[in-house]
Amino acid sequence: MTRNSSELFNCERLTKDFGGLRAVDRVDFEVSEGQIVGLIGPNGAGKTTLFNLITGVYQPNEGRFGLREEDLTGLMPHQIKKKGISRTFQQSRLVLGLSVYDNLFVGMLETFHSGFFDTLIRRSRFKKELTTAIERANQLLKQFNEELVEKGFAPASEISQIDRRRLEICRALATEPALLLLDEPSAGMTPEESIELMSDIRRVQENYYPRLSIILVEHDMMVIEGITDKVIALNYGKKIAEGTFEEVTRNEELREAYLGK
Amino acid sequence: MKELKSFLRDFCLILFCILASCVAFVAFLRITNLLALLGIILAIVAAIYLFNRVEGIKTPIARAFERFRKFSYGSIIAIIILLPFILRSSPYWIFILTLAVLWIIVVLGINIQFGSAGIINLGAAAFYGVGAYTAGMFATKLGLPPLLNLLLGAVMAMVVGSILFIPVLKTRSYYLALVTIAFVMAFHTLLNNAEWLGGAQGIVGIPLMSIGNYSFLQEINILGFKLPSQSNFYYLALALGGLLTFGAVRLWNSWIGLTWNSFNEDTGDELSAQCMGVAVNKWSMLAFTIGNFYIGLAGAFYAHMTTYIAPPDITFYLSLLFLSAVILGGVDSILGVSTAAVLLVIMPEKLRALQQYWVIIFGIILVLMLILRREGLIPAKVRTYGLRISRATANPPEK
Repeated sequence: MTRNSSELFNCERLTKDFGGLRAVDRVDFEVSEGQIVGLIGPNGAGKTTLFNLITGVYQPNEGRFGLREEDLTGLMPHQIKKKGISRTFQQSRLVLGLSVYDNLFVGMLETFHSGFFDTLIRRSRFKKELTTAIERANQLLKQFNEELVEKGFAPASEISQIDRRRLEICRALATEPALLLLDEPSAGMTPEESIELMSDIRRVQENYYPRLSIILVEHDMMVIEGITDKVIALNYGKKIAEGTFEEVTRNEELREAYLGK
Repeated sequence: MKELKSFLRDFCLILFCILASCVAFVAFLRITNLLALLGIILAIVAAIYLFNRVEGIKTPIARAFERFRKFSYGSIIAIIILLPFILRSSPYWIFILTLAVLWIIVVLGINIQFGSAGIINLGAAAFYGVGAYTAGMFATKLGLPPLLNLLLGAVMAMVVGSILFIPVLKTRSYYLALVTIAFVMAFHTLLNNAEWLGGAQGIVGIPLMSIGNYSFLQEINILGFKLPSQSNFYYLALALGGLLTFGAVRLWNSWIGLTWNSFNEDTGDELSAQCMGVAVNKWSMLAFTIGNFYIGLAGAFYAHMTTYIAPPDITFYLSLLFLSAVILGGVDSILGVSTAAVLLVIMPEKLRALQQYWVIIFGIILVLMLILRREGLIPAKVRTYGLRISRATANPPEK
């Protein structure tokens, strides 16, 4: 089902030890441009750790990863973000006291260039940036939910759980990344909301960002049925299966990991 | 016709509110009888309570304020400028108000550090002291002009702060708080023991503030009014305070303020900010340094106002008071922390009769505030970047 075969992201033998525990064990995989990849596995399989490696929060003990031939191993989180890998977190990391716009602007900070002079003395440049930022924010919010635009200056604490997730994804999309990592976007939501959010993600990607690749962590396999191009299964830090959703769900080892022998 | 009527009604409403608050404030300052004072305090608290709780009072006033926004701000500023005229028979209160303005400057600095960027600074008194001692030393040893000393004091506080900040760059929250406490303690001991800084006697005979040949000892004669010499300090402090407040508001209403909020552990999230590309260390350092500039400047001003600075002025207790003004007023709320700073200067003076109980009263107020109104006197509002958006509708701005 891969629509575009050009390779975007790859990692080889990626390994992370925490003391004696090997949380990620020689994982390698590839992601093509425009692909949505599901990363599944039971709790503690190493999915979030793998994300933390790819975004530079942790440094791998072994192995490498890169984006479009460029090696990103060893870079800091903000450098990796600049290279085009953006992420959301399992636990919402929105700032609830700040407005919806402010939360989005945090994602755009890198694109702003007004310095102290523009802030303190002549605000014309800042104002111009502000107008563009608001336009861009509205455009992003609209892609997910028209109503969110109305709530731009409302505190993030006043919007619903699913809208907060959408807002987080918008924030990650604000800098137009090449690869988007979503860490359990459906955590803490009802099954209906989860499915709504997943179809949102697919719809937005197809309509607005056809070249964007997404890796999606999920421990409930049913949620990602039908939206992924490829599924990778982890258990005890090892990759145990890779393929289409149907192939992976037939995998014996994975069934054991989820259900026991 | 109807239009004109509502216009007049709103205008009178605003005029009444401003004049009433002005009269209440001056009465509060002038009354010495303890019972009458308590009565005034209760009346003010009741008025604020009613304003907040009764929609029928709040909505029309808020609407009238929106309508006459410029006029309202203008008259409030005018009243602040005219205060020495109203209080000209009591120079003591002009002095206290000057001190209040200095406190506003200090607290705005701490608000940038703690309120915006989340860096707890329990060593503010030490930076205040660095400013005061720098001004004192330069004035007494080198005879530099006071205005230059203000700048030097502020810059020295910045420099000392950045040197202190380098080793603690890796620590956060409680650990950073501990380091700043240790710093104010060590600084206090250093002042007591360093002979070249005057030891326990401190620095005496710091020249009074002056600008060129204009001495701040002389009275101001203007339009037939004779203002006491304390007014000189009041106006200089007001000018500096106004400029610094303006700067603080603009920083808050900008990407810089947003960047600080984004990694503030209280309102934001450091990990996510890092992943968004915020260089947290650099921005923390910047907030800390700018804050110390404010604090140091106020300290230097204080030295040139009282002509005397000694170790007992620079204590951990003072640091605590400064920081509590931020918490009391509303973290990251410029209006809130300024109000709290003024109250913290004026209240102990007003309650002189109950002096020995002031610390207890203050403690009770602080605990009550934390229980009943954690967000502070005037909580921070949503950042609108200077765009006029009414929060009730929270509509996006018109293009």
